[in-house]
Amino acid sequence: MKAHIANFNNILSPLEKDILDILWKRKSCRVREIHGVLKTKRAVALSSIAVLLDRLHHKNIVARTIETARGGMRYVYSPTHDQKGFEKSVVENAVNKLIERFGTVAVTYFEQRFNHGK
Amino acid sequence: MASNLVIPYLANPTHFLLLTLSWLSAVWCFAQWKRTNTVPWAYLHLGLFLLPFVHFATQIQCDMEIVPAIMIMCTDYLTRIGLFMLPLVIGLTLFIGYAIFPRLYVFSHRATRAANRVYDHAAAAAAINAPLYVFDGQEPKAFTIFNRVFASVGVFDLLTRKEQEAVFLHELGHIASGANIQKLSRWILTLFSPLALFTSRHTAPEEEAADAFAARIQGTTKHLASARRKIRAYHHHLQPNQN
Ligand SMILES: [Zn+2]
Repeated sequence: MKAHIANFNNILSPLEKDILDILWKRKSCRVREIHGVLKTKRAVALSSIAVLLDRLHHKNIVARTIETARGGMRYVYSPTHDQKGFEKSVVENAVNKLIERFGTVAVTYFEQRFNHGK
Repeated sequence: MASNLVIPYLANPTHFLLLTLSWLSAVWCFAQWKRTNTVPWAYLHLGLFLLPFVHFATQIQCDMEIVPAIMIMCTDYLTRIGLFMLPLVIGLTLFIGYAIFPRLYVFSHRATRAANRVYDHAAAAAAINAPLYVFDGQEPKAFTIFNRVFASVGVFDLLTRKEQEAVFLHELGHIASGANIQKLSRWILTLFSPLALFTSRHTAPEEEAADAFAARIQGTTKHLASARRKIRAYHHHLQPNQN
C-alpha cells in the first residue's frame, strides 16, 4: 500500500498526503487540529497547512464548513472521499486522461494488458 | 464651433471676472483639501472649478435662423445639455461609489453580516459604529469599504484574538480617517478636475495612520506586527513549490 500511495506524489505533495491521512483517520478537523498533529512530526507552519487545505478544497478533494463557536468562527475540513474512493478517482482520472490523449492506442494497450493478466 | 461661443462669452467683463474668481477660489479650496484632508473642500473645489462651465452653458442659445426641422441637431444646444449634465454625472458617480459599490461587494463576495465578540469589542474601543461582514475564504484578509468592515473566515481561523483585534482596529482606523471617501473623492477629481494631477496616490500615509490608530487603542504594535507576519507567511506559502 505504501508504494502505491507513493505514486500519487505528482498529485499530492508529501505534506498534502499527511494532511489527508489525518483527515481520513479523524473524518473532520480544524486547521489548528491538523497543525497540532503534524507539528509533532515536522516543522510546519499553521499558515502552510491552511494554504494546502484551501488548495485541496479547490481541487474538491476536501470539503469545508464554517463552524461558529464562542465568539469566533473557523473552518472544519473533511475528506470528500475515503482513502479507497480517493485512490479510485485518481486512477479513473489518469485512465480517462490517457484515453482522451491517446484514444484507441490507449484502449488497445489496456485490452492487451488486461488480457495478458488473465 | 465652440470657440465661436467661448470668445464672445469671455469678452463680457462680468463673465471674465466670474471665471477668474471661481477658478482662483477653486485652487484655494484644492489647497485647503490637500492641507486638511477634509473631503468637503474637494467638492467645493470641484463645484467652483465647474461653475464657469455651467454658467457658460446657460448663455448658449440656439441660432433661431436655423431651419426648425434641424433644431434638434443644434450642436450648441447639445453642448449646453452636456455641460448641465456635468454636476449630475458627478453626483451620480458619488452616489454609485458610496451607495451601490459596497452593496455590490457584499453581493459578489457573498459576504454576510456577522456578530462577533472580538470585533464588537474592537469597534466599541474605537468608538466606531460599523458593521462587520464575513466572507468565505481561508486566506486571512480584511478591508473596509466606506463604513463596512470585511473579513474572511481565515482571519478568525488563523489569527489569535489579539491579532484579530489589531487587524480590526487597523480597518476601523481607516473608517475613522475616512480613507475610502478620500479615495473616492480623489478618483472623482481625476475625472473632472485638472488639479487632480497634484493629488498623491501614495497609500503609505493612510496605512501608517491606521496602524497608529490600532496601536494607540491596543497600547502596543506587537499584535498587529504578528498578524501581518502570519498574513505574509500565508502569501509566501501560496507560491508554488512551497509546502
Ligand atoms: Zn490598511
